[in-house]
Amino acid sequence: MDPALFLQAAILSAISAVIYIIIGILPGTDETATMAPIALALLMAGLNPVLVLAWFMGSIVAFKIGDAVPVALAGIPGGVMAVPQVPDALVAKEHGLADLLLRKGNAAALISATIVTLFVLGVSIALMPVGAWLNISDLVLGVKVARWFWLILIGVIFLSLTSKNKWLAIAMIPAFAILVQGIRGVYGKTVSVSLFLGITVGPLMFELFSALNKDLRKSMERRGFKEIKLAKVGKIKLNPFAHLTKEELIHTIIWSPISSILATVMSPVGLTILIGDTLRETKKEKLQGSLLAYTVREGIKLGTYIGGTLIPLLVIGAATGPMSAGPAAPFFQNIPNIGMPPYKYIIEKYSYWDISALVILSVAVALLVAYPLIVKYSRNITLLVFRRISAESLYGLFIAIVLLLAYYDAGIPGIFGMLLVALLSGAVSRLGVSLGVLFMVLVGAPMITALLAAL
Amino acid sequence: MNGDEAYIEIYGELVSLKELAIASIISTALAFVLFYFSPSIAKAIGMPNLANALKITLGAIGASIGFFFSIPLTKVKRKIVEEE
Repeated sequence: MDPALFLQAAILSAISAVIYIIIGILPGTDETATMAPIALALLMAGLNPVLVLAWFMGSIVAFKIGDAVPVALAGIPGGVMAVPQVPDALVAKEHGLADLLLRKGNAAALISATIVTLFVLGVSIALMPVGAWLNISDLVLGVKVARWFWLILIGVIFLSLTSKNKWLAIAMIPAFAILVQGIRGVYGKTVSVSLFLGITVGPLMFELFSALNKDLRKSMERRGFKEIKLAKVGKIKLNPFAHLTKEELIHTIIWSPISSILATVMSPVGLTILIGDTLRETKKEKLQGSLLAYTVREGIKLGTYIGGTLIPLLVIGAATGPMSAGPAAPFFQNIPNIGMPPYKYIIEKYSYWDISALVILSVAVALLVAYPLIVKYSRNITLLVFRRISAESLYGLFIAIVLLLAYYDAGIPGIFGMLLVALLSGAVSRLGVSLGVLFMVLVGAPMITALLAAL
Repeated sequence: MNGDEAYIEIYGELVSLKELAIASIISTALAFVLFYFSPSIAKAIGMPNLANALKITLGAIGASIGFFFSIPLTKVKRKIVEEE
């Protein structure tokens, strides 16, 4: 690989880290809605997909480190993945240990990102033959079906069964596949980008349109400003090992890599809750349990995001889980100007070692930017972001980018197709269907509808 | 600043629908203006063959400029209490 490409990757990862620390700290910023459209815009703008991967790895590290800051200091989640952390963070905050929690979480994130990146790259090489086998197609009911489709189907059924509304989630598998293929039929081409964006902004759009109804708006109305109590932060040592107990360190080292593999098909939020809550229950004392659960969850957050992106990208070649079909989905969509999905471009054009070196470099650069920034200036950055950046300006930016990409994908019909998918996604998400189900159906829709028709 | 206005709570953030409309219109308008003028801009900077590739880049830059314009036009609805 050209050395200039490594330099560009390092620069992009650093820029991404700075931007996503801010987005991570901001409350109400959903990972898929904020990471996917930007990665998609970069891919559609013609940036080399391998550089977009560097950008994306930088954004994972910074976002996951950033979204823990408001949780630890104010009990407010910076992103969806930070939501399970709130109850334990509040326990620590009540005991006046907010800054200890911040240090522990940061240290676990740094250690996890380093270990998991190396672990996942090693595991991916071992799993390569499985990837080749998964890409073979078989004839089923006269339909040509790639073997990875069954992995998606198992994943989507599993995810449906773990959704709050499992029966609706199961029913949405064929129903949403038909909607997707129907829209594609109307457009006369296999669009993905605008439909994918529809799912990402679905919950936000649904809330906004609900607010336009006078009766519904009443239950959403609040008077005055939102009061946020920000805890103080003392001096923090840069050495991550100084902040963790032996037990926290061992659990982080064990559970982060395990969750990275499980996230290939399982939900990152689900894994974070499951493992964290189980660990908390092992402790008799509430505070000790909360500190352990919070710390290890910070490691698991990084583990699921890195593993959930890299294993499907490097080994399987299909979006098989909620992470690869969610925030990382742009890598698995057909991008018109590349003529193939970006993951394919990356693995065909570059050697495994080049990709690995680039991934390690981008994670290292993002950690070098994000970790010291948060350790030294977490309170100042949070104050600046909370006081200066309004929710409206950020939502406005994402709405503009989504409209632009939907228009570029399929013109004016693309915008309305996106709106249709958004409102349906928002409605079923409100009814308890995990958005991951819809993302995975979007990937498997042609095969699902073909098999349905052949039945 | 007027703290008595009713806002909508979305994802734990208080949002004024009017301000959101203003921010969205500014960002979207700037995104589409730069998107449409990208062929002329590409020609002006001496790279007419990049006109198509620059469309999304310039559109996203337009949306980002809109974001920075929106910051002073929209109120932050968080009241920060610093604990000592």
